[in-house]
Amino acid sequence: MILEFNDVCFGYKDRTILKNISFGVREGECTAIIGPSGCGKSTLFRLINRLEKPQSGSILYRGQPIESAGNITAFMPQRDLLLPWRTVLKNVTLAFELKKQRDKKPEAYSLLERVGLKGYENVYPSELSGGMKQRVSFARTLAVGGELMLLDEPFSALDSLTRADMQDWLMAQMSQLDKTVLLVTHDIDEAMLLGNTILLMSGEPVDKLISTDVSYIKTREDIYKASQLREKLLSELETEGHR
Amino acid sequence: MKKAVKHLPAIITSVSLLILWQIIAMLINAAYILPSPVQIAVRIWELREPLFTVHTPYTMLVTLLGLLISIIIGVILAMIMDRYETAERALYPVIVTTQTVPITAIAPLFVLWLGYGIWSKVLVSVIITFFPIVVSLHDGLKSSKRESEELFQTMGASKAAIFLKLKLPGALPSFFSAIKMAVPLSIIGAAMGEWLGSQSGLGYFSKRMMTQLDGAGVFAPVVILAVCAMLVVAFISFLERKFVKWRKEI
Ligand SMILES: Nc1ncnc2c1ncn2[C@@H]1O[C@H](COP(=O)(O)OP(=O)(O)OP(=O)(O)O)[C@@H](O)[C@H]1O
Ligand SMILES: [Mg+2]
Repeated sequence: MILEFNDVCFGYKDRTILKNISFGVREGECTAIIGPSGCGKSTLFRLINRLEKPQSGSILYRGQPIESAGNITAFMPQRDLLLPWRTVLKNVTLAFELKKQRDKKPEAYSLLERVGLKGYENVYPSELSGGMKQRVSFARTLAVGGELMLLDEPFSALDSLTRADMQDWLMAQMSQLDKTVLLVTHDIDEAMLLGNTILLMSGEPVDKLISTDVSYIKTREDIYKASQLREKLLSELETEGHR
Repeated sequence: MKKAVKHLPAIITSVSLLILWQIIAMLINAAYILPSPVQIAVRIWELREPLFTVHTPYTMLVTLLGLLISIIIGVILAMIMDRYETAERALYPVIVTTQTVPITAIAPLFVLWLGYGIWSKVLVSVIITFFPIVVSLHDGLKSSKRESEELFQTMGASKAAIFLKLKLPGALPSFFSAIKMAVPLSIIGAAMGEWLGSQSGLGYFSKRMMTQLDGAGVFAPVVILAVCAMLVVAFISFLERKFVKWRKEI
């Protein structure tokens, strides 16, 4: 296990969000996290990013307390958070600058080309569409390059065609790069396609992550073959949302 | 051509107001009460020697010194208040209080403290201008979103990097608005200081003309003050366009 949550409790002020949560993430796998809006998915990422500390329990990275690990995450926030005063290219190179790596422009160019934004390098974010901004944000996340990729609804603003494109591309990347990915999504199909495991956040406040193995689903056709599982997940998500 | 069309409404209003003023002044026909624009223009020409070689440079020096000191104090205070919350709680109320002091009432004291020289006028100018600079810059630094700061943290940014690459660029537009607001204030502050006790400067000159019941002579330095303020603001707008190429998102 590259990442382990043991009996983690967390809340903001006196409101509990996560209650005795335990789960593990295997190295090189993609774990999709689904759950109703406001249940604490982004909060989970804040804990892994060490922006918050668990109130009890522990988070382990390769068996060691995560506090002592260095910069291990590459985080893609739910909103793009691009800097409006920097061009697209400069927004990507920011990740290199903060790591004090110089002259990484060629890499930034190729990352932008990979997300389909060749020719937009010198444009300011205010001139881009929502989906394009998301792709720049994705390129920036790749530039950060931590072992553990935390993607918070990375494709939510994309149209279905581009989204499918980016999903295929991400799948190819994952098999190539051997990265460990945590993916928050509200799209069951996306979770089934990209994830090896799906973690469904259950309870109010969340006290259980229901794990489902979907590693055998490799293509879009597989999703439809597994329609029973899909229905089951959908109805579970539905009941969680109505709790 | 396009530019001329853009400024046309402003030019038309200004010219009409001047014409209206000219007519009223000619009707009143008493230059010591209301001099006409033409009389003022003539007077500026007649007094060009003392006005442009002595008094305007003096006032502009006071203004620029005041502005410079205000910016330095403002930037330092805003940075300290941004960095330390205790400092913010300790300083902010005091800074606001400085604005409730009627400067005109205590400015004569400054002459006692600092003498008839330039520094008593600079002090008036600083007290009036540093406030908008601190407040706008402080707000500008605070305006960066907590989420963005957190993203920087996950990318391994130091506190210094967060300040330099996130907060400072984000505060730049507010900083420029603050300076544009501060320039006229600093000129008013300088002129006010001169009015209250000085031997040169446009404020002092205007006061001297007043004792001679020279209406056009009172207005002449006032017109020059206004023109100077416009020129400095235009220069700062030019700098702003150079440094802030992006616009705040709508
Ligand atoms: N900084 C904060 N301070 C206090 N409460 C917060 C804070 N951030 C989030 N919350 C609360 O914690 C709960 C979980 O928030 P979180 O952002 O983790 O939800 P989410 O599962 O990511 O939702 P969504 O799918 O809508 O993004 C929400 O009810 C929210 O109101
Ligand atoms: Mg969220």
